[in-house]
Amino acid sequence: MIQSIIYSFFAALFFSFLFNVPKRSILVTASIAGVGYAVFILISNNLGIELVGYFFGTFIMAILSEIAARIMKMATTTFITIAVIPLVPGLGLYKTMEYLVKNDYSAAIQTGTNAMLAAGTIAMAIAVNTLLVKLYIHFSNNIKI
Amino acid sequence: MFHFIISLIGGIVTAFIAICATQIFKYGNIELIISGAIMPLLPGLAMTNAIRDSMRGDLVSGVTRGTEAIIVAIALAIGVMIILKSWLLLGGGLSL
Repeated sequence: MIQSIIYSFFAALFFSFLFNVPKRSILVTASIAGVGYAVFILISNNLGIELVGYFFGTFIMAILSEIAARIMKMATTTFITIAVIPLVPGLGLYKTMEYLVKNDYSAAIQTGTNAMLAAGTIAMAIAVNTLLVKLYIHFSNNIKI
Repeated sequence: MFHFIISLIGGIVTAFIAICATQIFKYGNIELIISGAIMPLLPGLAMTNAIRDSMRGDLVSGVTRGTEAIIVAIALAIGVMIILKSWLLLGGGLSL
């Protein structure tokens, strides 16, 4: 588990070099990726359901990105776009292709459904977090004591 | 150029280099090499933006982004699939 966290930390680090983000946000982005991946591993190992792990891992990443964006006065997407990359199911998509090539259609549909659900869950977690933050800002601005 | 052509060529080059390298060096796993190498090409950002736009109410923008993401992913899959299928038809194996 420690190994996976370190690997995802360095994956996010080098992806942030690839995407040309500002230099002072690189270490923060990599740390967010490591923490989110740790949450993903903990939840999906203890509950046995991978989708819940994907949701809460990405959700923690999004919350941390919002906090970091407020502190460092940068855009939220700078952090969350790169931090979520180690979670994207690339192996599932490849497995789907491999089963399709080998004419094993039932295994291909099973793997492909899992991969598409995982990608949708990640996107949904980010969108839900954005909506919650917008809602919080809206209500905290409108209620005057 | 179009996103479709770019992703297609990306998938083809990725699979070709992975198979050549594992055949030359006799070491490594084709699955892990390809699935790691297509990570920068996968449309994760476009998919996220699509769902975020849809939930905010910009339905046309969301559908446009979502279609683009799906087409890019399919092009990538087709590119990798061409090389893998030809390699299997030539008599090669996917694992050493």
